[in-house]
Amino acid sequence: MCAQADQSDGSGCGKSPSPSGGGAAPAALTIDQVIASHHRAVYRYAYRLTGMAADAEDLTQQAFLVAQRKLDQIREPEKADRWLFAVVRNCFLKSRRRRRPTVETSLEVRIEDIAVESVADDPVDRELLDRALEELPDEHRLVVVMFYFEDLSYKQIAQEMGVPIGTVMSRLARAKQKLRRHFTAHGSTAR
Amino acid sequence: MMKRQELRALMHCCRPDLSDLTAEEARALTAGLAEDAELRREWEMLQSWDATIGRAMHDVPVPDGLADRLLAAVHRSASDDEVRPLLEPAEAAAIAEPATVTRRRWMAWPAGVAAAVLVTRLPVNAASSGKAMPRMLLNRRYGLYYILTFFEGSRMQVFGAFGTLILVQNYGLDARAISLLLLTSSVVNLVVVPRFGKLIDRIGERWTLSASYVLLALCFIGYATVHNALFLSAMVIGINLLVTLHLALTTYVNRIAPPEELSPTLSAGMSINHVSSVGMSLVAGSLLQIVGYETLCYGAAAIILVSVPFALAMRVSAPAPQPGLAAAE
Repeated sequence: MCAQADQSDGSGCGKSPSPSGGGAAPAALTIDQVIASHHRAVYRYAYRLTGMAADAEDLTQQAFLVAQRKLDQIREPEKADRWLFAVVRNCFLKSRRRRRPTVETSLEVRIEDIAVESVADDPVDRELLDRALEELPDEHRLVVVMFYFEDLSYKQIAQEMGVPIGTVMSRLARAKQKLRRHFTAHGSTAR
Repeated sequence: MMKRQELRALMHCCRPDLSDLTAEEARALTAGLAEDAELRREWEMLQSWDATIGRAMHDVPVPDGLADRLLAAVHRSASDDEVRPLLEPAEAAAIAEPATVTRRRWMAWPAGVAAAVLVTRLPVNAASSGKAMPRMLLNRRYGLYYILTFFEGSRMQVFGAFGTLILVQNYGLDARAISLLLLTSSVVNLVVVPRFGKLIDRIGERWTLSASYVLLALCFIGYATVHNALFLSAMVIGINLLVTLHLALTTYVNRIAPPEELSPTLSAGMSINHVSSVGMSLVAGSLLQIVGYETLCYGAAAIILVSVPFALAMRVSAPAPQPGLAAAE
């Protein structure tokens, strides 16, 4: 579990997450091993945040450069992905910090907005999902990616982001609603 | 007992296994789902949706050779970090600072000294008639010039400092887009400004300034009301163009001031302009985060409109004879 960032990483990404796990020091984990094990997941995570391959690769590279300098913080290799995701998030937020904040809206989610068919086995059009995520404000997209990609609960998301639980609930509900509307509007079967 | 709306809020945010809910929340939701068929149907749809999107989220193709590029990047970074402590301080500094920057810095010193010497060797007042004049002149006769210069400094600072910042901060324009915008603005100015000189000669400073102030106020109002990056970019070009009409203020002083008072009066105007600019940048910078840029633009528009009656009060009887021109004639 990645705790809230608490110190500068000195890499231009603002904060780095606190050490992953609190156990004994691992047997010399190398950056090559970390890259080999986690580069795919980190890239996918970065892609979901940025929506662009080039930006995702830049973000991935930044994350591993931070990891290289803070390798001693990764105490449990199996949890390194969470630590790296947190670094990616911090770098992403740092790059987007100057963007206009969006206005929070009501938590009200109308039942009629939810399509009736169950489509658990239907594949989702990849480009449609890309576009739907792209249309979300940064803070909504971040919450959605943390929820679906990292499988974090709304309470964990609130803790990671340092925002009230109610804010995360509101953002998550709104973001899901917007995604559903996007899929409905574009006639996808995945609703 | 939780209300239905609260249960729905939980449904939309919790994990499928309810692991993130408290025992009380989980009990309430389970009971609610058992009692309310519509709620249960919605829950099933949400679960289906979440499962589908959750899978799709991980479906991202990874580019070929990514791992190799990442390894190359971290090894390059590691070698830089390892080599630097082994070098002499000067060599390390040379790595940290590109050679071109170092070279430019060494070239800047003699250039700066040469410039300073040249400035001290310049005549104090080329147009001086030998009569001793103060460095700055404050005279009631030039009151309108001082007032309009004061307003000019205020509004210029509001836009100069924050106009492009807003485009970057709020509309996400990158460095390339801003460079292109400023280049376009410069080209437009280059083409149009010479015509402005002729316009001032034809209709006079009074109407030129009044019209420019009204147009500027409209541009600022447009900047505050229309939230479209393209429109705002057009406004930036328009405002940068209209701002150049402040040269009418200089020609106004040139017409009403005798030659020996011209320099000290313009110096006083320059100082007033700077005081106003600095004061306004402090005020505007503080207010930007609090009231938003729209309110700042409305404020700038108000300052500009206040200038209009002062501009209309300008009276120029006849163009003052230019010493150079008079001698030529």
